[in-house]
Amino acid sequence: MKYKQVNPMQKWQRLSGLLTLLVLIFLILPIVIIMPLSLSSGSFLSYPMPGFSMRWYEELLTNYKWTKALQNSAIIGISSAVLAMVIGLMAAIGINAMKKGAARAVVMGLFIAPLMTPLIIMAVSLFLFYSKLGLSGKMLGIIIAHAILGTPFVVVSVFAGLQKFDMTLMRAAKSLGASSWYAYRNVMFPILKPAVVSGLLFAFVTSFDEIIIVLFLAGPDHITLPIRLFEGIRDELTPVVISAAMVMVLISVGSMGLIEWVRRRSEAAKEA
Amino acid sequence: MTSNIHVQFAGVSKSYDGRTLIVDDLNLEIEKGEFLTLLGPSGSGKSTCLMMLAGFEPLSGGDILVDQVSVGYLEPQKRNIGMVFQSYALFPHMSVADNIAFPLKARGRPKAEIREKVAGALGMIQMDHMKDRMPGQLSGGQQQRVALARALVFEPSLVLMDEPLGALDKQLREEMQYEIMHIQKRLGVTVVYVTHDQTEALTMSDRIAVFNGGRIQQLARPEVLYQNPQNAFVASFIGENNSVPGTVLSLKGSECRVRVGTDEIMAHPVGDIAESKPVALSLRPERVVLGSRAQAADNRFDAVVTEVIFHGDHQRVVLDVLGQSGFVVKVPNSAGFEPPEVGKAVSVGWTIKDCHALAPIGGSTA
Ligand SMILES: Nc1ncnc2c1ncn2[C@@H]1O[C@H](COP(=O)(O)OP(=O)(O)O)[C@@H](O)[C@H]1O
Ligand SMILES: [Mg+2]
Repeated sequence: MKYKQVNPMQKWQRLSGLLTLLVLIFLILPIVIIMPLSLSSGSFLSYPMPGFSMRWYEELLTNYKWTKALQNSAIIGISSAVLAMVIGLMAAIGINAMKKGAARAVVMGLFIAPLMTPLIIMAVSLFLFYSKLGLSGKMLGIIIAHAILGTPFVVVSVFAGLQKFDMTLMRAAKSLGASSWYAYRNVMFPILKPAVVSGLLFAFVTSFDEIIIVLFLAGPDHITLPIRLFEGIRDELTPVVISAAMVMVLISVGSMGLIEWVRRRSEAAKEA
Repeated sequence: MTSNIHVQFAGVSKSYDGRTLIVDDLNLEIEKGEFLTLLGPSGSGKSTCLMMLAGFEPLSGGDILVDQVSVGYLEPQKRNIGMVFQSYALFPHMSVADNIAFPLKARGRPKAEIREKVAGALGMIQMDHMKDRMPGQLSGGQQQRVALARALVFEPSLVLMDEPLGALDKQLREEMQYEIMHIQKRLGVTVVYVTHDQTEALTMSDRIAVFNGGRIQQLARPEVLYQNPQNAFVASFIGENNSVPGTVLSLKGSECRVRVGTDEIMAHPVGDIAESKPVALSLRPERVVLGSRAQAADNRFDAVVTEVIFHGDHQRVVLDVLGQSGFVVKVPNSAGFEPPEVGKAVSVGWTIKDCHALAPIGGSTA
């Protein structure tokens, strides 16, 4: 009699692999199914499509309602990410320089807190706070709010980068005559660049598809792309909505790809 | 009158935790153009001294003067002191040439001057052809040379080196020792060098300060340190040494009688030695003679051979003598001399002046 060699682990691995695949399909399938509709030449959000055309992308890039939303999203995303980068970089360096202990843990916790606070609570409290400051209905208010959301990503990413940074390099720089600022700018920052850039991109992506805070704080001129998309689904329901969604997917995926590329490149540089 | 003193530690003390003194009342004067080494076991406070001189650690007491001026309140970047770190501390994102240019750029020197000086420094370490490499693409020895060039290119008159050769293999380390010595003599810079390797210290230094427990045990030229150690710590730390504990019976001028077990030995007293106090007798293995050669020696004892090891130019003979085992004698392989055999009795001897009676480690006689 012959026995079949069975590795009991193998069975479980196959099963979990299958489950993962199903989950992935479930997540991606809706996006994949609607994707072609953005290229439809017709005006309805349904299959079969009458033909292919770029007219909805053209609409997206020429219709003021959409261009304004794209522009707002870009301005808010980029400025809030840059602000988050500056604050997060300084915070991470400061926290790293603190003695290990309760105080350091508390400060770190405060900077990470926006990650864990429910957005709706942040939105409500900022709404009330801004009305006192006179910031409500202003774009600056949204930028600051998004910078608060993005800062934890930069802090976490740069702090991790600092754990691998050799502080002797800063001493070396100073012994060679560099002022503190010169040493930061020419030694520490360039070496931390991959960590800073990935934090920056995470902050940008976070701002780019954030909707609750914008809903609470934005005036009529500050409609961002996700909100415009939401309105579009309610009152237009033409394929332009899908092409806008495609642009958002592309930008998000592109940013994530960039983060991965930066990470790989810095790993490769270390091995060289 | 211009003084010849370049660096002065005046009563410097240092404590990290406010309780234990890592450096204890350090007084040390370093001359211009001198190669001075701080030598001591790991944890004896050598790096701490260097870090205080470089400006990275505040002093707990005393003062450090460079060219007669206190540098206590000067930031590290204002001290104009070159420094070579054990880990090299090359900037990993800059090429060899950019690393060497760093101190000049930080000082805002003109481009033409930077180009010229970097070229000169690359020539000095014979690495012109590697100027565009990144530090990660260099061997340990090459990285070390770049670190050296970078610390010298801005022409500091004082250079500090903290175990710069510690990470290199033996052969490369010896090569680099000579290279550093030659460069130092040629440029005439003052070097304060830290190592725990006594051979390295003996080879390279004009003077050596032997450190232990945050205090200088002895400060002297290498040959003096080797031949006339001031206490048992220095004797045991520098070179090989037989240490025999005993008690002083009598003390007269440059000779003393010491009781070791049931025997009496004539020795040469050094430093704080007093009658009826414990001493450590120190004997270099190469200053002890065996067999017929011991007949004429001042001190002569019977011993039993326990081990003989061939070492090329000499034999290492291990003996039981004076109630102690593990007494080492180095016998040169000179013509016509037969080394003793294991298990045989042999007589050993030495002259009075080669047998130093020293204050024992830890046991203060003051
Ligand atoms: N930054 C520091 N904080 C606290 N203790 C330190 C620090 N640096 C060194 N020490 C302690 O001081 C002593 C001497 O250290 P160090 O000067 O590095 O000795 P060495 O260079 O001779 O090996 C050691 O016991 C070490 O643990
Ligand atoms: Mg050290």
